[in-house]
Parts: sequence; structure tokens; C-alpha cells
Amino acid sequence: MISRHFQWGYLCVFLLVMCFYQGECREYLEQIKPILKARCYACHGALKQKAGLRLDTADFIKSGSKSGAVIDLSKPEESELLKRVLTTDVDDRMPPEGEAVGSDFVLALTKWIQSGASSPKFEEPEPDPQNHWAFLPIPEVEISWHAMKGEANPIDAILSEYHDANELTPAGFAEDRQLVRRAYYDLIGLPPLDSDYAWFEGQPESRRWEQLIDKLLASPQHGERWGRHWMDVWRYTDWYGLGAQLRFSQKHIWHWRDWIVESLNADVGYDEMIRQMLAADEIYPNDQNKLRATGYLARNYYLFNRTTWLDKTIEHVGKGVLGLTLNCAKCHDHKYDPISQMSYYQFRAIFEPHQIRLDPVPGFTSLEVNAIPRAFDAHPDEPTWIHVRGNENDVDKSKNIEPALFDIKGLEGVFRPQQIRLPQEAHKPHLREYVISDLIAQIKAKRTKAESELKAIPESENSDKQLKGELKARIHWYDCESEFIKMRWLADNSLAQEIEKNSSDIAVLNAKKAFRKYSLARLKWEIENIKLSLSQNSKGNEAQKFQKQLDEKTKQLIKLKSTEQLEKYPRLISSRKALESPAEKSESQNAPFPSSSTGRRKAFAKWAVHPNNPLTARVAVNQVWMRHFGKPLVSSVSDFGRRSPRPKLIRLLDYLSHDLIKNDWKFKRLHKLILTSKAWRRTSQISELEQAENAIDEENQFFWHKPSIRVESQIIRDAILHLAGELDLTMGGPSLNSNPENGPFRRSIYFKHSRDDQNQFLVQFDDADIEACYRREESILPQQALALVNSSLALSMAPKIAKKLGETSSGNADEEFVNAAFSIILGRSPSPREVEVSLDLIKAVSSERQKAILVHALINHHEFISIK
Amino acid sequence: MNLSGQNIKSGHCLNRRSFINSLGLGFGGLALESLLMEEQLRASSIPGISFVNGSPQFKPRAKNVIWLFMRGGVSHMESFDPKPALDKYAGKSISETPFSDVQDPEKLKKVRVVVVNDANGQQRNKIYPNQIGFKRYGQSGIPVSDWFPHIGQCVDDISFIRSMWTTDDNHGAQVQFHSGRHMLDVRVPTIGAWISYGLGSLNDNLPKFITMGPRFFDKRDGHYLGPAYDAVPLNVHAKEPLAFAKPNGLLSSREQSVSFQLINRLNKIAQSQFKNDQALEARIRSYELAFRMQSSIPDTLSLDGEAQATRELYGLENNQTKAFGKQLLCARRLVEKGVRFVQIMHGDGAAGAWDAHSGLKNNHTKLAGQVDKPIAGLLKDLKQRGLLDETIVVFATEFGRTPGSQNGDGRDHHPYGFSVWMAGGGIKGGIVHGSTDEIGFHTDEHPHYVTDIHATLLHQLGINSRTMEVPGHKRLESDFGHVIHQIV
Repeated sequence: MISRHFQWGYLCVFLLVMCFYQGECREYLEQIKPILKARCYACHGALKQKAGLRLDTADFIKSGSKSGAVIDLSKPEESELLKRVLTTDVDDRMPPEGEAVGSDFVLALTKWIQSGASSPKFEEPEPDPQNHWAFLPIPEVEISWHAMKGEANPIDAILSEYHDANELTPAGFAEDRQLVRRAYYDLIGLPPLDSDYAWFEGQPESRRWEQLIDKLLASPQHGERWGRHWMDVWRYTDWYGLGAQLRFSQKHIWHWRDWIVESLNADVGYDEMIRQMLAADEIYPNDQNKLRATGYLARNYYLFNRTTWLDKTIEHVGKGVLGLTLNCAKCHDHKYDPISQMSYYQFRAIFEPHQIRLDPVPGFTSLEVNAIPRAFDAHPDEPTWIHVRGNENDVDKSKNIEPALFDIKGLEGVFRPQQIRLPQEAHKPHLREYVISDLIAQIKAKRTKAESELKAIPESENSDKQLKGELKARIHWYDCESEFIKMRWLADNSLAQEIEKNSSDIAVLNAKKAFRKYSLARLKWEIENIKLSLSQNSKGNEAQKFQKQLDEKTKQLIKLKSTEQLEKYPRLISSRKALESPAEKSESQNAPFPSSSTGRRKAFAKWAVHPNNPLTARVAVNQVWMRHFGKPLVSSVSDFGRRSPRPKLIRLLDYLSHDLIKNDWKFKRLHKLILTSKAWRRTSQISELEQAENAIDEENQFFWHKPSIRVESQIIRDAILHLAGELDLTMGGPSLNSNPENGPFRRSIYFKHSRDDQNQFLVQFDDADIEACYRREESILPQQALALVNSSLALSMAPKIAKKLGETSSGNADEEFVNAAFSIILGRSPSPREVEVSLDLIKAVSSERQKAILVHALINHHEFISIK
Repeated sequence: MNLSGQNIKSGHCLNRRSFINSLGLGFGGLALESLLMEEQLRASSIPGISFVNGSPQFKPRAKNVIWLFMRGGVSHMESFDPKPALDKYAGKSISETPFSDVQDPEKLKKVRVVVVNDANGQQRNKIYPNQIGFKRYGQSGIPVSDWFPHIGQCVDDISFIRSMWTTDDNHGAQVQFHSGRHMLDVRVPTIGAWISYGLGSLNDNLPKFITMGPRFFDKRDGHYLGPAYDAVPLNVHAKEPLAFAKPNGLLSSREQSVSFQLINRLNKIAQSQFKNDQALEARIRSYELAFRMQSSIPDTLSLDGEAQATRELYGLENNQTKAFGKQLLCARRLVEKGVRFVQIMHGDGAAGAWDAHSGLKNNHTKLAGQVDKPIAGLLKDLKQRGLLDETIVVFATEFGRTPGSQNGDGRDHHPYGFSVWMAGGGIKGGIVHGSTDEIGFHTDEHPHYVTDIHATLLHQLGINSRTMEVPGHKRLESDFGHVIHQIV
């Protein structure tokens, strides 16, 4: 409150000074300029000068447009500027979009012109858009030894500059136990157990902090914790649609989730992750593991509308990777950033050729059961056209838009797509050996089953004669099928190898023969099978139906036998492109894949993670920082464009971004740098003693204390289960039913998560929005209280946690138990007052439930769902 | 950028009032908040100053909204917009009638057709005759179809708007009717979220925005306003209408009350140490509200005290009408207690039950039978209690149905022209506003895009829809809508 009065004081003094100096310009500065800025600068400012007119300073206004003056000092009411804002002719009115400007503005403008349109002193024009802080190269931030002032960690050295400049004394450090808890939550997303604290305390004091960080960074759970963070940014969603119809995302998209987790655990550089997500199919066309990364693109699949699909891709590559709102340039040039509408469609052209397909996975022969959803260039020659004013029904087909990227200093000439010839197995997945061996193994299993059925029939048994016939025919059919698959593979291979024509001709002939044999065997089995049905069902309508089928098949058999000509054998469809619209027919869906890729996405990926790209590293560092400190360095995390003011701590952002690039974009190093800083170890609990600091920097812009963070929904659930000893740490695999009745209690990252599938408990705590989640909400709602008090999760786990804490779950809660419960659940010892209150209130509960109820209350404590 | 979204994180930079408002708490209604509201009301009488979030901007005519939404698309020609021409030209293709120009491609352009297959998104050319008759009702003599005889008895309290149009011909139009945006565009806050954002709550113990019945595709309302403005779902037919409202036998009520006390005391001890932790303050309050909600929700939803006559009025004694009737009776009880916006969806299924691509007659006979009596009951009950003056009832649907037939006995989606109605809260009674052409194809007089309904609601509640904007989230012209002045 005191600080607010101060602010008012400053404001009054400021206004007085302004009045004194600016006298006649007051009107211009207070009533005219803000409106011009909001409504006109986009087209008549530094970004663009339509009609040669700029309105961002009074001098510019007076110098007019290409066609002459826009204000007329002799006849103010004749001023073009006034006429254009007042006209009712929609074609002439300015601004062309939105409501007309208000009468207050018009009055002020008239008055200002009447009084001579004087210019304020020192009025600065808008800065050059190209010089916006985020578009400039990331400098190597110099920290002199002098400036380090004995700080070992560059983060602290840089922050101390800001602290000194603002006369801030940073807060003290949190207690060790709380820091251990913080490190566990930050790095693996699980609370430390008693044994974890004990391990820490057992290490030599000088090294234990570093050892703990290394241990947690090496834990497999680290990838799950940070995987979920990046799944937020990259908009992970399982498939959904209407009933069984897939409309959004792809089946088996969890492969991408597993790739994220594994990549983070392996500390694959962020640049390499981006490369793989955008273009693994072009860079590593035969690497199934890396192809999983393109789930990033497959996630945007949308059955009904390709433009919507690509719009989403463009928007979120823009926001998530580059921190740019490219989407704002879909219908017109960007209002704030130097991105034209043409750039939008040039960007679209990068993605225009790509589609999604399901590739076979070793050990599975059905794409429905398991497959890898991945991107590939299905239509290398697909043109890109500008949509006039963003209207997809008004397409300008006069000009095909070539892929290109908007200008950024230092990246000139980096984007140069080159066509990529794909290896055979990449575009002909049916040539992969595992595809054939899996098929043959599947047939073999069926054959074995049929054989054992045949053996089970006693030799002498006459009644099963027909069944025996059917089984024998079936076994023969399986044999012929195996043979055919092998022959076809040989033929396909020799065709693909482009070897001597003679030998491939022979292979093809063999395959045709095998196909004929297979077709005959299959028909014979079908006939036997119908006969079997007839023998069991010799009367009535059914029998008539079978007889008809039998006649039909017999005719087919005779015809096939009498045909000399060998038929063309069918292609093996082992990979399937996702439908491009509900109307697409299987013919085009199953057409062969192109043998080359445009290389556009690979070229874009190179541009995006080029060391000179000023955006990508800054955007990523900002995300990582935010997730450790609960507060980003750049507050608009998905928009680093001109609307995003230069961050206060730009030296820190730039230092860390430069350091990330220099060190192969390794996140583990960045985490360690952050966790070993004093800034991260400071207390989050600000007491009365820090009032002075609070008055200077209430918003904590300079991180003089550690902000407290409400943990994400997934972490709340995982933590409760982990404390109870019930969390199953099995990793990876298909997504789980999002609302299971019971266990196994796997980590929440593995729940199915889509528009239609969300876990009811997680939803209460701001679960990730699949549409866009660059930053989680941290709401505080009564429904959350109800979920933590009444959910079966909280209620069934509380006694288990109590049991792990005490020898038994029953018995009176005593001081020792209260101490243990606080130190494990909240990561700190209770104060004497807290012990007293706990023991006093818990008496009202029957003795065998006291411990469980105390635990129940503590998992509802504000500190439990916070990282303090 | 998004103040409400970052409420806690950036809480420090907001002043106390906006902080508490931005928490919203879903259930606002803090004693403090109502004090602030009075303060703001006084302030808002200063000309030129308007406050968003927490109070009306000018003298409101209404306090609450009951929003009835028929999912799937009600036939406008067979409910509130009679078209005798359909019988006259039955069986003829549209091009053979004098109205062939309705299919002029220029006129069809405003609709964005996304799903085109045999079942959807086609022009239906063969005129399908009326499947039901009409009668005139009340002093105003407004005709209502025989599927809605009870609503017919209330026409003198209703403004019918026969000239609605929308741009989405898929059931994504349900999202559009609530938010103003096509399903392919970004998801933005729905009208219920805006109203709770703009006005806050009138009750300490209840949510300000409640939804019942099967939801449309989008399960969120607040979007960039934050989850505090999402509707709280209630299922009045379930044993537990509010999720997690009961501990289900795993915790006795005595134990629960001890736990609540303990939580409260321990959080308060922490608070006494760290006075600046605003999130902790909000957390404590959220537990106090949660505790009260556990009883306030069941109390409000308990119909034990309702007179037999009232139960009959809502059709609770009839199997066909009792499910919807119970929701409506609960809605009345909720607005009575101060809930701002009660949203009730009717019609199960992914697309919505009213989606009569075939068998329209059976479909509408059955569904209208479920809703007609309860809705009329609600209007009559509100009126007899004097609540209709301050409560607006909206009857809406995502689009109408084609004049042409589909599958022989059904009608396809029709976004070019359809009907909705409003009653109460200062909305005029006995009014027919706007029209469609003679075969019910295009809007004719006074066309209204869906957000005009939103603007009109906000206006009656004392808010200028143009002020409903938060920094960083530009709204389009079409998002704001225009007040339908002829009906207020």
C-alpha cells in the first residue's frame, strides 16, 4: 500500500513536469498519440509506411504522405487525416479495421491541428523493427572477474549487477531439506523419501550438493519430468475424433512421447531434438527410433481440413520454437513484426508436401495394434497458394509460392532446401526384413495351431473327415502364403536393387507363380471351409446360402485353373498414409510413396537451430528458467516479437542462451548451472524482515528471492502415490486409460491425454491444454480443495503414507509422528506451534485413524502442492 | 499478457482488488468482494468510467441467465417460424420454385462447409413438407408448432428471433453459438465465462457459472480468461452431483471436519509467518468455500421442499419430462440463490440428439415432448415468483434444418437461417423479431449473427459487450455482437 502511494506521488510529479514542459503538446501526447499508436502505427510507423505516411511522430505527421500533406494548418477541418477518420465510406475510412475512432480523439486531433500541430521536444520515432532485441544476434555476455565479485556461478554474477543497481539485498538460502525437496521436484518430479534425505546427509558436505544434482539428472525419471514440460510446449495429444473415426492427431502417438523422454534422458541436444522433430524422415530416413520424433508434426493431423492442419503447424512451430506469432500474418501482414502475409505462405510451403503415415514396428503385423506415426513428403510438387485475406475459399492460383523464410540478421542464405533421395527401405517399408519375417512368423503360428488341431483328431474318427479336410487345406494355404511372401520379397528386392534385368524378370516370374499357387490354395481352402459348414448345417436357408457360395467358389477355381496367363501379384501394404480427407479412397491412400523428399523441412530445421538464430535458444532457455523459477525472464513466453518488451534481465537470458548454443544445446548442463546458483537456493518465504526489498521489487523481477511454484497436476498425483510407496515406475508404452478404477499406479504422464480423454483428478489442477500450453495456469479453486480432500486417491493413500511413516498405521499420533509427517510431506520440521495444534485437533479422531487424518490434512497443506 | 491466467504468478503486480477478482475463486462471493462491488457500483456512476470484472457498468435489467441449448439443431420451420410454402411446393426441387435464387453461390458463401460427405454438408433440393401443424397463442397471437404447445402458452412473455444465422454447418457450431467462433478457429471464452468474468458472483457458497447435461465438443469455457471462469459441471441425476463433493465412505464426516480444521489452522500458521503470500491466502479461502459447498450444493439441489404443484409444473411426475424438468427446477433454485449463469444442454450423442437427418417427425416429437412442458413450467414458475423480471431464459440451438429433405424423411443442417427465443429480464414479451424468406432458407429482415444474442444478454445484465476484452487477446468485430434493441 505504501508503495502505491509512492507511485501516485511519482505520477503526479511526472504529470506536473510534463505540463510545464509540454504545455501545448499535452493534448497530442495524452489523447492523440496513444490512439495513433494503437490504431495506426502498424501500417504508418516503423514497420510499414503505407502511402509513404508515418504517424509515429508529430514531425512525420506534418511531413505528410506520398500524395501530400495530411494536415492542413490553414484549414484544419479540411485535413486529410481528419477526413479519413471521419468518412463513412468503408473503402476510404481509416483505420480500415475495427470501429471508427472515438469522438474524443477527433476533437483532440482537430484542436491540435487548429492550434498549430506543435511537436513535442525530443519525440523519438518508433525504433527500427529489425533492431528489436529478440531479432538481434545473441551476444557473448562478458562477465569480468571483477564483475564476478567472487560469485562462482555466472547467474549470480549477472543477477548481482541488477541487485546492486537496485539496492536490493537478496534473501537468504532455504534450509537443506527444502532444497533437497526442491531439487527432486525440479529434476524428477517426485518428492524425496526418507532414504533419499539420508543418502544426501551421508555424503561429504563439500560435494553432496553437486552429487545430488548429478544423481537426479541421471535418473530415468528426469526424462519423464521434463518430458511432460516439453509435451506441454509441443502440444502432445493422443488421438481423438468421433466414435471410432480418427479426426485429430494419430494412433500410437505415444511413440513420440517415449522419444521425448528417452532423448531428454540421453541429453540429446535441443538443436538435434528440433531437427529430428521437424525432419527426421529427411535426415535419418531409415532410423525408426528417430522417426518417432516426427510425432511432433503428426500431432497436428486433422482429417477434415488441410488448411487448418497447416495453420496449426505454422502457428505452433512459430510460437513453440521461434517465439513468433506467425499466425497473425495469415490474413494480412503482421501488425507488429516484420512478417508479411507472403512470408506466412512461404512458410506454409515448407510443410505443404508433408503428410502422415503409419510405419510398421518390428514384432507387429497390424498397424492398428502398433505402428509409428511419422511425417513424410507425400506430395513434393503440391503447390502453395496465397489465400486472399486468409480466406481458404478465395485462393490466388496465379502464382505458386516457393518456400522461403523471412529475413533475420545472420541467417541470410541458410535456408536452401535440396531434394533428398531416400533409401529404398524408407519409401518402400515392405522391403524391410522384419516386415517379412514378422509376417512369416505370424503365418507359422497359425500353421502350428492348425496342425495341433489336426493332430487332436483321432485317426479312426470318420465323423471329422470334413474337418480334417478343411484343416489340411488350411495348412496348405498357409504354406503357399509363406512361399508367396518370400518370393514377392525377392522379386520386390531385385526390382528395387535395379540389378540385371534377366534375374529380376526371373524373380518376378517366380513371385507370379507363387501367387498363383497361393490363390489356388486359398480357394481350395475356402471350398473346404464351406463344405465343413454345409456338413454341420445341411438344411434350411443357411444351407442354401452355403451351397450358393460353394458353387461360386468352385466356378472361380475352375476358371483360375484353366487360365494360363499369370496374374500380377498384389503389392504388400505395410505402411499406410493417413486419410487426407474423409472422401479419400484406398487407391490413393495406398499409393507408393515418393522416392525423394523435398528437403524443405530439413533446411528449415537447420535455419531454426542455426547458431546465429537469435530466437530459438532464447525461447528454450526462457522455458527452462520459468520451470525452475515459476517465472520466465520474458513474460510472453510464446511471443518474442515487438510486442514483447526488452526483458529486464536480458544479460542473463543472453548469457544462458549463448552458453546453451556453445555447449551443444545440452539441457542437463543448463539445469546444473541453474541448480548450483545461489539464486535458485534462496528462500521463497519472505518474512517481515524483507519488507524493504519487497518495497523496491515487489514483483521480484530481479529474483532477489526464489518464487514459490504450484506444482503441476501430474506431480501432485505422482507425489501422493510415491509417498505411499504405490507409484509404479514402469516407463513408456501405450497410453493408459485416463480414468482407471484401480492400479497399477503409473506416472501421470502415461495417461491418455486428449480432448476427450482426461483424468478427472488432474483436470482440477490446470492440466495441460492440448491446444496450447506454453505456460500452465496456476489457479486456486474450491474444486481443487474438494479433489484433494475427497478423492479416493487422497483418501486411500493417506493411511498408506501414514503407515510408511510410523511403524503401524494405527495408534495415537504423537510428537514424533508429527515431526516425521511434516519432514517427509512438507520437507521441513514443524514449529512447536504446529505440533501443538496438530496434536490438539487430532484428538477428536479415534486413535487408530489419527495418523491417517493428520497425513490427509498435510497433503492438503498449501506447501505440499507448492515448491517452496 | 493474460492477467487472469497468470493470476498467482504475477499476483504481486496486481493491486489487491484486481487480485481477488482475478482469483475469481470460481465461487467469488467473498464478503470482501461484495464490498468491492458496492464500491465499484458507486464509482461506475461517474460518467465515462466503466469497470469490467466485478460489477455492472450501467443499471442492469437482469441478474441471471438460464441458458437452454438444444444440441443437434432444431428445425426452425417446425418450431417457431412457420412456412406454409413448404407444403405448397412439397416434392418440388428448389430450382422449380419461385425461390430458386436462395441457392445463388454468392448467398451461400458466408457459411464455411467443412465436413462434406453423404450425410452432411450438402444442399438438399427437394422441398420437404411440414411435419407438424401450428396454432396461434396468447394476446399476441404468435404461432408455435404443435410440438411445443406448452411454450405456446407463454408466447406473451417471449421474444422470438427468427433471423439467426451462423457460419459453421457442422456441429462445431455448438462451440460457435457459445463463443462466436467457428470450430476451426481459436477457442475463445464462451458467453457464460464472459458473464461470470464481467459480473462475478452473488453468493458466497455457490459457483457463479454452472453447466448441466451433455456438453459440446469443447469442455472448457474460460479459455484465456482462466479456469476460474470454466463452468462447474453438475449432474443433478447422479448421487454425487458435483465431482469430489463427498468422501465416499473413506472418511467419516467427523474425520473430515477435523481434517478441514487442521488444514485451515496449519495454513493459517504458515500465513501468520509469511504475510505476503497471496496464493496461500487464496488457498485458505478456497478450502473454506469448498467446505461450505459440500453442503450448499446438495441443499440447493434438494427438491424435498418443492410443492407438488411445482413438481407437476416442471413435469417431474412424468417419465418423459422428468429428467429435463429436474434440471430446470434445479436451475431455478440455483439462480434464486444467486448463480449467475446456468447452462443446460439437451440432447445426447456426439452430434446432439436433435440432429434429425432422417426420421425428423419421430425425432422432434420425442425430443420436444421431453423439453416443452418443463420449459413452459420454468417460465411460469419464474413468473409467479417474480423472478422472471431478473432472470433471462434463452432457448437456443446451433442451427436450423434444411427446407429440403434428406434421406426421404429428414432434414440436414441449416446455418443460413434459424430461430431462437429469449424471455424475462427486461426482454419484451409477445414479439416476433426478424424473419427468413418464404421457405425458411435465408435470413430476410434483421439478420443476427450468434453473438448478437451474447451482446443482448450482456446489455440486459448491465455490460457493454465491447468492454469485454483482456490485454493480449484481440477480439474480432464479430465477437462482440450487437444488442438487438427491438426486443429489449
